[in-house]
Amino acid sequence: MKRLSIPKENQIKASYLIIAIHTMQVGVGIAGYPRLVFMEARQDSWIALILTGMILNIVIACMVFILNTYKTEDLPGVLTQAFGNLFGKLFSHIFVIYFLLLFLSVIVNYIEFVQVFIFPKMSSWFIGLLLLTLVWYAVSGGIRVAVGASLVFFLSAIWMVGLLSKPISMVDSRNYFPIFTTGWDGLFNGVLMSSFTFLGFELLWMIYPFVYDKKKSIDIVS
Amino acid sequence: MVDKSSSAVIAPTNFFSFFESTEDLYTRWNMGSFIRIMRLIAMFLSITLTPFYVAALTFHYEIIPTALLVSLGHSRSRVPFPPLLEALILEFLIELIREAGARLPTKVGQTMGIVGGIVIGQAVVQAGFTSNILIIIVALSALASFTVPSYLMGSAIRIMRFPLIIMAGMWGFIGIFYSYCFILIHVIKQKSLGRPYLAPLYPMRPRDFDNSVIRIPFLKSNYRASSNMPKNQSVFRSHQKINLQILKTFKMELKYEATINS
Repeated sequence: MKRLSIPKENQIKASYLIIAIHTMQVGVGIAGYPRLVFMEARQDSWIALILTGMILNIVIACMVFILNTYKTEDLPGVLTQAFGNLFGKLFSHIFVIYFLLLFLSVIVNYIEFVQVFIFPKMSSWFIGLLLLTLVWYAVSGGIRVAVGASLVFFLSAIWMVGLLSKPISMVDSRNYFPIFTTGWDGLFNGVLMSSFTFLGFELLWMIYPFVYDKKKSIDIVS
Repeated sequence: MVDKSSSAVIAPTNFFSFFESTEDLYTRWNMGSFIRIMRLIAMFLSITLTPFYVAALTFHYEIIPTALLVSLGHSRSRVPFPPLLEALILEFLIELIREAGARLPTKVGQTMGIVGGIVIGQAVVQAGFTSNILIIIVALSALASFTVPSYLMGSAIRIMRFPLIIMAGMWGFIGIFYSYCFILIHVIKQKSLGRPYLAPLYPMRPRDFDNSVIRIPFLKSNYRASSNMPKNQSVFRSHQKINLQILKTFKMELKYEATINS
């Protein structure tokens, strides 16, 4: 069984994990997702969000526990050690297809955003090509460049949190009532919708061997 | 230092060292910080102002406030060119004037600067060649690119403006942001002699912000930048308490403290 040995210059600190995973999760999808969750679980959307948070906490705890048991392995390594060579490779192929579909959904989201708000007639392949060349350029520099790019873009987009001040000033707590009256299926549909937005944390499977102070990682990722 | 050449190359550097100059260290720390941050903002302004004008006028009229739109329309109504061509012509003109003025003797150079800057600018607007708002913007961005103390960085900024203008003219704000992100990723990728280029910002070392982006009072800046991997990271400051043992070995520092306290 091959163990991954990662040279020092490919390693990142644990505190960059929070930025990288945050960047994976907060993409262009957050512009639309409050509305999507509201359509499913009307005034109990906050319950759906809390439920999602708890469920995802459990999932991430499982992930970090598994990754800590197999030291310095990422997802294909864990799978080959657990299931043997053939099935391990098969399952990691499934994960590759999963990541591909995730990437595709992010690109489609970006293209839709540009076409709705900025340039309605710009061809889709062109916007996708622009995004792809940027991504290729960042990733071809290794994981340090990719995490650094996500850090710099996170810092330069953090001012957008201030744009929330206007909607917050219009909060009316009477809209939360009648409380607990949406049925279970509305609530679970809301959990489904919001977990789709929080789905960026699978990056942890791949990045974990690159992190060199692993003790702090579990507080950071949750 | 290369044999038979009069200039020396200092390496490794990082991106923010091109924005430091020695008079930042002589003035007070808050003044020095303010000037350095102003230089960084001037760099961003210099790159983004003209492409912003080109993109807003070509593709996105909606973001310009109405009063400005009226005067813009009035000054652009006589111009036969699209904003991209107009901006490219003016930028090229300014580069021409600057480069020609660099080779002239001093007195003639000053006259050329005044003639080129004021007279040609006025004449170009009155002939209906460009709009006067663009003259303001181009002059501002040329000025802003001269605030950088290093000549090489200033010329890099000036050159970098041209692809951004072309991208803005072709693809609007998307073009500007695409090329901006491309430049950012390129700068993150760079390594100068193996040390990361964007040192205190990307491998985030808050302790190293001292001499790079802002300036800290001398009493508190005790550490050399860790991205250069120094052998001795702390700089000995003689205002600190000296006990008797060090007094015997470092007599020179005692003299230095005496001069500070006087």
